[in-house]
Amino acid sequence: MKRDRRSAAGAALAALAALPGCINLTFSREHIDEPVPVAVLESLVEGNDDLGTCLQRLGAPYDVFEYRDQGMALLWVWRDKDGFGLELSSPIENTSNVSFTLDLSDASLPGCVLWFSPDLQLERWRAGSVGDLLPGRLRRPSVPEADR
Amino acid sequence: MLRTCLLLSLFITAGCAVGRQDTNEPLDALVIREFEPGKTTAREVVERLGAPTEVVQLGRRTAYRFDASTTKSAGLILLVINFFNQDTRSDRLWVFFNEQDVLTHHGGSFGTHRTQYAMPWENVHEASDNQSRDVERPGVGK
Repeated sequence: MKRDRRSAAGAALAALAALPGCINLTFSREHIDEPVPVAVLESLVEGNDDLGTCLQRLGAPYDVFEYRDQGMALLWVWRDKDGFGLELSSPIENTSNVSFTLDLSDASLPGCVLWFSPDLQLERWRAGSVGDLLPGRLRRPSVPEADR
Repeated sequence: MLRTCLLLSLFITAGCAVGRQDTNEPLDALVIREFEPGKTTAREVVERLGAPTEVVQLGRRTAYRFDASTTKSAGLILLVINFFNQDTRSDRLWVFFNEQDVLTHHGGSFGTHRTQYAMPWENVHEASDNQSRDVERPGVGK
């Protein structure tokens, strides 16, 4: 009888420790936007396709940058990450703290960039991580440096 | 006693959570279809879509971005392990204008209606799923 009580107390204690909000193992996955199909990228012809045909095939980019004075560079980026984590706090709090937007300062994000000449012909395209595609230009300043 | 206790703890700890967050109104694909390069002006675009999220100067050209996003989160909370999934899709439109503020190009993507409540092991980018959702959205499905 005494042994039964001790086992029950132990089980209850273990259950309490594992309650959500205390300690738990979490497997989470986050998707932001959809990847650009590689086949579509590979169908682009440098020097032949232009801004219009590229927008038609790839849709709207995530961001647009000025490139060589009158040219432009278009960035597509997305996120599909998963992983395990040992949590020591409430899972509800964790999910509410997650950002819903892409952070371009995350150099590991997958993406692709298309560069266009001043006459808006496709010069080249590259796919890879944002850090490699736009080194030193991960975030366009929202306020000019001089105004800070 | 022990069995009852374990069973009871399972009931206490198992649960699920769902959440949704929308940013801006979804873009109207039917309105965007009416834009005509070489004819539509920046003023007309803004009159129909409202204020852009961002304006970018590209030499003598300008580009306006309009966007909206929907995030759906789902979680399964079990005794020891939890599963969470978060799916965010966007409607996004970039319109490009020349020096005279006349539309030269535009490119749009419509994804807010494709967002799904799912578990982390599910594929939320299945083409058949996207197609069936596209059909129900005016101006997007063919």
